[in-house]
Amino acid sequence: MVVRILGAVIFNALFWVPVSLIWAWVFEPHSGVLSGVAAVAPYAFQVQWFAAAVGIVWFVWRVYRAGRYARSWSYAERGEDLCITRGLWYKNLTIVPYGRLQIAKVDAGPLDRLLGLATVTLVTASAHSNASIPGLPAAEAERLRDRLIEVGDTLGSGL
Amino acid sequence: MTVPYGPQPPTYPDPTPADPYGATPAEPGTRLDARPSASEPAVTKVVERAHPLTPLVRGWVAVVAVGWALLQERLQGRDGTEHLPWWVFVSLIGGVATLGLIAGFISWRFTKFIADENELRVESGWISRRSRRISYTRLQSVDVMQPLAPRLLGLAEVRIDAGAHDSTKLRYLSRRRAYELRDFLMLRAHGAQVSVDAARARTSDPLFADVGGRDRVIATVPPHELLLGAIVSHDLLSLILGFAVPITLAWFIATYFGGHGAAAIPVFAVAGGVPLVLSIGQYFARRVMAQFNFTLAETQAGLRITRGLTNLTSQTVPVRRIQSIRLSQPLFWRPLRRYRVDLEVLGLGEATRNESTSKVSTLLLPIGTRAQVDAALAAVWPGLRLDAISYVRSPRRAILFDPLAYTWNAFGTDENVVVTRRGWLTRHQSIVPHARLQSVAAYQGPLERLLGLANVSFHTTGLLHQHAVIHMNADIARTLVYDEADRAMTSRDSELLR
Repeated sequence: MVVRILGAVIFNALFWVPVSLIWAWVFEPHSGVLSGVAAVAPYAFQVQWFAAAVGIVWFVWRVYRAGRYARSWSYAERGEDLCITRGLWYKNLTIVPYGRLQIAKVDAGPLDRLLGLATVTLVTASAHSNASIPGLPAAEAERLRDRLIEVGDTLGSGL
Repeated sequence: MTVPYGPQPPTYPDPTPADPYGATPAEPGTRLDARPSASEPAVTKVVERAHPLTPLVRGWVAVVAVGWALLQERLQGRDGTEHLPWWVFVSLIGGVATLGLIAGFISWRFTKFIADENELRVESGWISRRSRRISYTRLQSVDVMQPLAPRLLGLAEVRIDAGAHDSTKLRYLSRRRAYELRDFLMLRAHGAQVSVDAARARTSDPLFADVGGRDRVIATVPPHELLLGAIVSHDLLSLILGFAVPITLAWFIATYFGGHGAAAIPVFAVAGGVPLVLSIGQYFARRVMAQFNFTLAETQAGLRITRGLTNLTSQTVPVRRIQSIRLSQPLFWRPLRRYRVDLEVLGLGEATRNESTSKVSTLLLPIGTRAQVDAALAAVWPGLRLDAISYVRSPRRAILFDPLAYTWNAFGTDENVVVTRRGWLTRHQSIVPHARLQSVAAYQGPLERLLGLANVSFHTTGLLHQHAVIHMNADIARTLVYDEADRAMTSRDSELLR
């Protein structure tokens, strides 16, 4: 963390803030449960052992991927824009100028709330710009939203 | 009522500048049916009603439908209706017509269009009253539509887009009043404090055009160009193939497996040929009728697009509201050097890309030569020089993804716009001003990462496809994203300062 902040200051690089790793437990549970069932079910039906092995490998892989996928999300504030990166196989980098912000909203589903997380979504006038940052700690999400609205107000421009 | 929208008493320029973001608040606390009291300052206010013939126009479709249904019942003689004498049917139709007329009259009686200093109000409804307010500063575009039936009676519909999803329709006004209201609204949208009669120099009221005295015609598309575009199009080819392939297959099967092949040939020829000829005829007729006498003109209030044979459509788009423009060139148009131009405007919620309809569309030019395209572009962005932009193209290894288009894939920027090119069956060229950009994104799939390629898309508030440049060198794409965000910021700022 210190290295990254120093890097951001010294080399004028972007300071990418990762989303919370706990978020992996939010988007993964159904797939995790499913693969858990897939791992256990073969015993119940007395199928070949390798079916169970496949289920277990799949489960471990999903859990591993979930962590990596959660870690692939991060955001950075860059001058008058917000940058969001995401994705492992399909990588995406979205840049939304603060001046284009129409709505900034914070959502939290039941699982999110249980884990103290929230999603910040930036809405612009374009239907295509799909900019949301999931898995932020609730306090940080609210701080980010307030900051976005504040900056968006000062930089806001018409259509 | 005899003097539409003016001459108004002299209005003095507002000491506070007009709000550039259109955030002028509506007057608070006004009841729907509030009337200006005597103590309020005299506001220039025009109250307008729909044309008295409106109920007739709105009702005739229902009358014809009911009449047709009854006639069919009568002819087919279903369920003992044949016992009933003819006057029952006539009175039924008459009753429906009367009911429709009464309903139309009530809705006409309670509909008012009020144009005052800052906004246009549309009040309607008898049982549940409804009042729509449109601030002049928020107007995106105003169109005058003349479907056949109203047009025969000299009526027109004014359609106002203010950025919401559905447009406000004022139907119907007399054609002249519709044009005048449109001109008034568009001028007010540009912030001019004018009375329309003074600003306007319309001398005639031509039937097939909507060009005032001071308007400058930029491009017209004659019918033979439309026909040319319709003939060498993918639509026609797919139409023919869509008929030809199943018919040929059926004929083939009948000939070689059916046993009596020779007898089957004329049957298939007729079965396939007649609908094919009919639908090709319909295709040509629709397309030419919808785009007939297409005229692009520059007026005081923005670009005006007028077109149509039976249904006259007249769209007016303020140049400043144009979010992006796209040039497309289908495969067969390339040797002809013809282009089609579409534009994006915020709030054209119901706009279509279809060329064969009289509805509000994104078309800026259905088919045009390079010179016409340049003229149209110059009318929108006078400083733009497409030839002067140098393009960065896809690297050669993109041939794996785009064997036919990797030489065309490219992007280029100047200080005002970013231009992207893609597509092989139809070559697209999108022009997006930096100042109109909503967000930028780069994306990359696993295979593209192996080859070091990436895509960049530019998001506008539009209806057209995303403006994207695909399969660029990944490093170039990364720099492009960040640079484009910077350029968007600076042009936004400079536009605000202007």
